[in-house]
Amino acid sequence: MEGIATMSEHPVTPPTFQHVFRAYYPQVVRQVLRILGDAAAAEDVAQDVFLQLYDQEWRTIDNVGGWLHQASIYAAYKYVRSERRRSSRDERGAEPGPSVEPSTEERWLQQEEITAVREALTDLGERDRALLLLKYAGYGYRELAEITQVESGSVGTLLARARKKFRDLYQRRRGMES
Amino acid sequence: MTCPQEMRIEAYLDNELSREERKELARHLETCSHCQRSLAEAKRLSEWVEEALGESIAEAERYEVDVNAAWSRMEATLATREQGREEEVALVTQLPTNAHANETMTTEQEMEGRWTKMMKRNWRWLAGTAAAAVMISTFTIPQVQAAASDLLSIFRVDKIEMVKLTEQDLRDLENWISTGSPGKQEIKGLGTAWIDEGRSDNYFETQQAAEQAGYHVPSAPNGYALDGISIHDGFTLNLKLDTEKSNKLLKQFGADVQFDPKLNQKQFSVTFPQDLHAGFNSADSTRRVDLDIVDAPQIHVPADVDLDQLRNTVLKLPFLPEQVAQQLANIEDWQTTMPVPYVANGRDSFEEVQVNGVEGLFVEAKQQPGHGMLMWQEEGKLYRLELNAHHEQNLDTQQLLLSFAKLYDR
Repeated sequence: MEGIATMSEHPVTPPTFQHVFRAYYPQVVRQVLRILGDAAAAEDVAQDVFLQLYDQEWRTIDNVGGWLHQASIYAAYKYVRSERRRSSRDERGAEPGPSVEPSTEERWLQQEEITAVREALTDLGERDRALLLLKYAGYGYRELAEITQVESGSVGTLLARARKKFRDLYQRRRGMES
Repeated sequence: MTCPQEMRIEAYLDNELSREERKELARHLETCSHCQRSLAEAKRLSEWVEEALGESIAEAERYEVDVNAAWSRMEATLATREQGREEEVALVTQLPTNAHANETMTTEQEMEGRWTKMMKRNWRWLAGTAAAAVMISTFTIPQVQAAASDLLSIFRVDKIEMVKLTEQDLRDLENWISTGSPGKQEIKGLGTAWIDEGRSDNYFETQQAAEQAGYHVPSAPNGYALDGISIHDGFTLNLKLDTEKSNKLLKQFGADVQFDPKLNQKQFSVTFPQDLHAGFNSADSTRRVDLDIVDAPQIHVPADVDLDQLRNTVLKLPFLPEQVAQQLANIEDWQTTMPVPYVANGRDSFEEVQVNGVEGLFVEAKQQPGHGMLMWQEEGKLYRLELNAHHEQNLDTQQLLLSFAKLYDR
């Protein structure tokens, strides 16, 4: 029924899906890439995210950028989970390797750290993860509240808690390794 | 043990406090050692998080994104999805999406392929839309006799009547209907249309193979040889309405008619028994003929429904362009007539002709010499014959097709 209501009032120059795609695609790919660290997979996931948007009444979304950011985070972790299931099923056991070949020990250590960060993020709850990544992406409290649907007054507290949890998970990861 | 101001430390760090709040907290910090420690700790933590995320992120920031390539890929995906939908004949959704194909085509080869494809696509669309239109015309019935207890099924269509659509009508329909997953379409708030599973597709390269499988193969026109035959064993298009929502919608549009609540979530269906497609090539392969034979659909509607009321209601549905509704309402022999929508686009010409002694329709694309399509109905079957003669100028496609049509006269 909404479809009919909007049909009668054609906006003058509404942005097309292509406009939206071109404007936001790079940020979506990068967001996913931060989480996956694998460019080809990130492009795949980003495409899926835009298909999801396409299937929405996307013109009615107030903050398309925020919507896309959160959808990317969600889709990226969904991908991580399904990859894990797949790799355990295939009994390969190995995590997807780093996208860059480690050449020196220093490089390798750095890569280890990156992996630990990714693992810790994966272990976090969905909301905490979204808060951390969106905050890092430069969103303010009000937008964070809107996108993750929490009270704007509690964003600070939730964020503080998410940061602590993240650090604990990270340390546990590192502790496990050594 | 906690200090009320401690709640604000995170926001203070993240620069999210108002000027007043900021000043207030700063003053408080001067005296509260507890909060000083909290701030220092939160600051360290926040910085560490930024750094940790930053390391894993730096790689991503350097990644060069090729938006053009990505958009091409997205376009391709969307196009395949649209095509996938067409395969699933569903309620009025098979709208020709390439209405402007002729303007954008460049080479002759492309135009040719496009034209043929468009006709095929339209045909599929016709089948789907016809099903919907049949249902709509079913609703235009004054009275139908009850046969079974829960269903009355009941008549076979043995006449076709053209219902003209303009491109604007199509756009209106397209705008109105939302896109859903293939095979099942949610009709915005009104109900669901879906196609029964289990439709089997058979393809045979030779006449022999098809006959061995127990199918009758239509004869090839003189001088042509069979080039593959495919047979779909029929399918059923179902529709269920939510009358409450539909009625609200009608009210919203100021219509003074309502759906009978007895109809709520009851299943209506149209069954297409079988459709056959055969291709024939001329000996020198310069001409091709495509033949489709579709058994006339059968319609099933619930028994205890007041069809008088239904007719009025359906014809007032807002997505049915007014002039289309008018044309449907004007069909007199509703029991036996299938309305076949066609698009008046100015690029194709439509002409009513006599085919084997019955009313038929000849369609010709103006810019495509040597291409034409003939449609007619005989003994409850719908026939479509298409000729593709690769730009042969001065060829009377209509006469040629009419002569081929005689082959299928019973």
